[in-house]
Amino acid sequence: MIVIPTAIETQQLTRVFGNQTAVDSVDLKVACETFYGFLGQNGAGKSTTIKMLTGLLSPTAGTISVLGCNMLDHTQSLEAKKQIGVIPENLALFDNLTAIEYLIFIGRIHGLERETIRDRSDEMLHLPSLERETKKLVLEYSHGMRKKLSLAAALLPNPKLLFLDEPFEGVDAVASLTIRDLLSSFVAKGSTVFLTSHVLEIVERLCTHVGIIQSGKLIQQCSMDELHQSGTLEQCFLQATGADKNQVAKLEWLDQR
Amino acid sequence: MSIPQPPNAFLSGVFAHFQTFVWLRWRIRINQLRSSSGIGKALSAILLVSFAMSCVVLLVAGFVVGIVLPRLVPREYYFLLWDALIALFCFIWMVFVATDVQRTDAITFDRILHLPVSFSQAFAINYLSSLLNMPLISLCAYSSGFILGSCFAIGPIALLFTIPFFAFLIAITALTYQLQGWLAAIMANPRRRQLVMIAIPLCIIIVSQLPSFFAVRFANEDAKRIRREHETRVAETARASELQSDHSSVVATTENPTSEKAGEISVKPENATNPIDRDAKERVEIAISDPLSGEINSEQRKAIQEVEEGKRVREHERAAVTALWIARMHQANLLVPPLWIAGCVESILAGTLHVFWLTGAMALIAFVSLRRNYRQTLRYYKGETDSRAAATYRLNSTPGDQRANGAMEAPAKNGRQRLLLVERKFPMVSEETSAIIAMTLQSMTRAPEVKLYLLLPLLIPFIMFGILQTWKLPEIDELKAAIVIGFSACCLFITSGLLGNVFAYDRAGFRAFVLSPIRRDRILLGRNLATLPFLLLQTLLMELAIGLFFGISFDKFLCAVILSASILPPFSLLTNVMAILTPFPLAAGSIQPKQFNLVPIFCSFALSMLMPVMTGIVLLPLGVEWLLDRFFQSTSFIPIALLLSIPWLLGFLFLYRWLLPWEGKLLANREKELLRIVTSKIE
Repeated sequence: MIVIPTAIETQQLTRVFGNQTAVDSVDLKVACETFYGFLGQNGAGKSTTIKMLTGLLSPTAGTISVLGCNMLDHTQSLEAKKQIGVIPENLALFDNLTAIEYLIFIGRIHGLERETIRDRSDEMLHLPSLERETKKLVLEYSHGMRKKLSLAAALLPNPKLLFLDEPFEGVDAVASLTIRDLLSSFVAKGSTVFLTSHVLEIVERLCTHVGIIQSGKLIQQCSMDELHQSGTLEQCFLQATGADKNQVAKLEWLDQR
Repeated sequence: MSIPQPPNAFLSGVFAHFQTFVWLRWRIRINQLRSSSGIGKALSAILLVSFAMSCVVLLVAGFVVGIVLPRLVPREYYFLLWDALIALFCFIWMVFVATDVQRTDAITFDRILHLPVSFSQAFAINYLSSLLNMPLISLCAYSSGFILGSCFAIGPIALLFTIPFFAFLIAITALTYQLQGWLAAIMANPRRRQLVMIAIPLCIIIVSQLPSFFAVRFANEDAKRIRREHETRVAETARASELQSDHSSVVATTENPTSEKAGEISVKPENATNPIDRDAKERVEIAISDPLSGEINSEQRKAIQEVEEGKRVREHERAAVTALWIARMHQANLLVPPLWIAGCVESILAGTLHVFWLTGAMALIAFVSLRRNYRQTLRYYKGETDSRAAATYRLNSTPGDQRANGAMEAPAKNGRQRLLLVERKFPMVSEETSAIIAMTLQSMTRAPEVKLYLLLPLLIPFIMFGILQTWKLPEIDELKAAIVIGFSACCLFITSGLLGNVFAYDRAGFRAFVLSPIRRDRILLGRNLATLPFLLLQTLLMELAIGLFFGISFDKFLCAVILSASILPPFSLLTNVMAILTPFPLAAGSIQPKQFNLVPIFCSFALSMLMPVMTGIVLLPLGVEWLLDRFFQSTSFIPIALLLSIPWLLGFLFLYRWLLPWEGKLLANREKELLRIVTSKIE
């Protein structure tokens, strides 16, 4: 039996766009069966990192290991892709398919049986309230609906590792609650989730481990328990990124009415 | 309570807003130029300079034509020059509008409606911005020159043409603006958008064929009329001959001023093949080529008279046909709105009053269009476009109706257990490949731009029909079969625009392929097999149409079918390479490139030029048969091309199977770059 020490491991992971370094020598280590929250300000390099981890973008330098497979080797990366589910930044949906058709396609690509796909699809469509829109094409969906469908597609093959790039963005409160419960139980059953989000409360409530990236550099990586020793997640995040919560600009003209 | 503003303050506010909008457009344009690459900037600069120069050239050309042509054309036909100009402009305008189907408002109302700016100001600015386009500026440049030139040729009265010309400009732009607004409202619904995307190019093709359709119809009517007249004349001649049978033939000939035979000659358009006319010509030629005879005898003189009479009558007929056409154009200029400007020109020159009501009608069209468009746009941005759907929703929203709807949905849910297309398993391919074939088929049959691409080649026979009718082919079966295959290759060449950039049509969906754990050659195989039925259908229909037209023999038809099928494997390999190496992003639901990058478009074009080479190789069996027939006639009973075409097809299939894994590796190496390209500028 192959022992997988870590779910994700990168060494000196770097990505340069022109003269801008989006991700700078990141050494990431995510253990199996953890709920990992990847935090950072806008443009910090979160999405670029997740793209490189999932094989959507080539790194300029460094190595990537996902579930023990070298993602820079094409054959090994295919092996890893069989075991992962992804919600990429701009999703991966086909405009001219319905939700059920898209799920069937994803299921077949992952080699699932027809009946399995049917059963899981029915459940998945029901969970995030997608069943009302089964006849609509993806191009007619709202952003929130697309996110829900992407999550359903990511979960459908029952992956060992889930990459979620801003999964709660544009999703309604009820669906958000459902998704949170779903992800918690998913991790409890032995899977791993790697998630990026701007909503610190959600990350604090769900994640067991946190990584903070600032200007392409990984500036903090620890468990939530370790982090809580020095305050709340918000305090730690503001401190780590160098932002001062109390330093609100004095816009004196707002008083002149 | 609001304080009323003084008029000056109001006007200065309007002017300030106008200035702000102009500045906004300017900044957006400059920033777009800044963000483009070095080549893009250079290209933009070249295009701008070329366009400015072409405007000057058009102005000068219009001026020269305005001076020269009215002197060559009789004054009563001068309006035809305007007809020709407007017809040409309308065609260019139609194509221009079709390529920019959805209204591209200079300023999207969504972004300004919350600001203290009046809607009418924004509407006016958007309309004025829509006037700044290449066809319209070119028309203005040319027409200005033409009117000025005409002043020298026909006098200062030509300056009056500017009034109906501007009425025409405002009318056509207002109508176009209204059409674009209406289409934008329709296309807000993605499913209706699909219909519009297909309907518009088809409408353009049909509308552009209308003039030639009417020309052929009128020409046929004229031919029938002439034939009728000829028959009447022949009948009258026969009666006259009966009456004159009592008189001597010499007297009868001298007394009858109308040459009956000349009448016969004149009405035949295919004069050279008329035996009577040929006989007369021969006699004239004998008379001319026999100088030794000294003098022309009576028979020869009669023949000369017949030919001259024939010429005279033919000229008369031509003049009559021309007069008919002119009369039709007179009518068209009064009845067909785009030609009203020519009607105005005609009226000004003739001194009639038509010009007033024609110009007035054009101005009225402009006014009504703009007014309707304003209201329509206002409704659109207030979200009142789909009133019918809203009414249906209101009707169905009673609890009873909802229960009824629920009752209807229940069996539908149970019925969902039927096999969907995306679940189908295809023989002889893996499960993953089947999934890709099924998904591609389902997706393709819904994407309007793909349907358009697949329908386009089927229009070729209709477009080429006129040309085909004029072809005089030698009776060589191999050549006919080669032409049939050539037409099939033409179909494929058109479709290569779709398949050579096939991943761009997936847009964000291509990400699913990159994330998928399947071998990349299977993705390519699935894609190729999904398009195979459409390609086969296209080529088969084309072969049937052209084969029937040329009356090709059955064995050659069969050979053409097999050889056309032989093109498909190398064609698929070629389009795969094009799709991997030279992709460019496409706007959503459209075939327009989202980013104008010269290099991939040029490379794609260069690769597509391999298509004729491939077709040439595929034609080799036909060449072999033709050569053997030519040099060893004894082999003519063996269908060599047909026999050779089968191993030919198998050979190409083997080539496909051999090269596909290599293309799969190429895709694997390029997929991330490909993803970056096909999703850039559209997300």
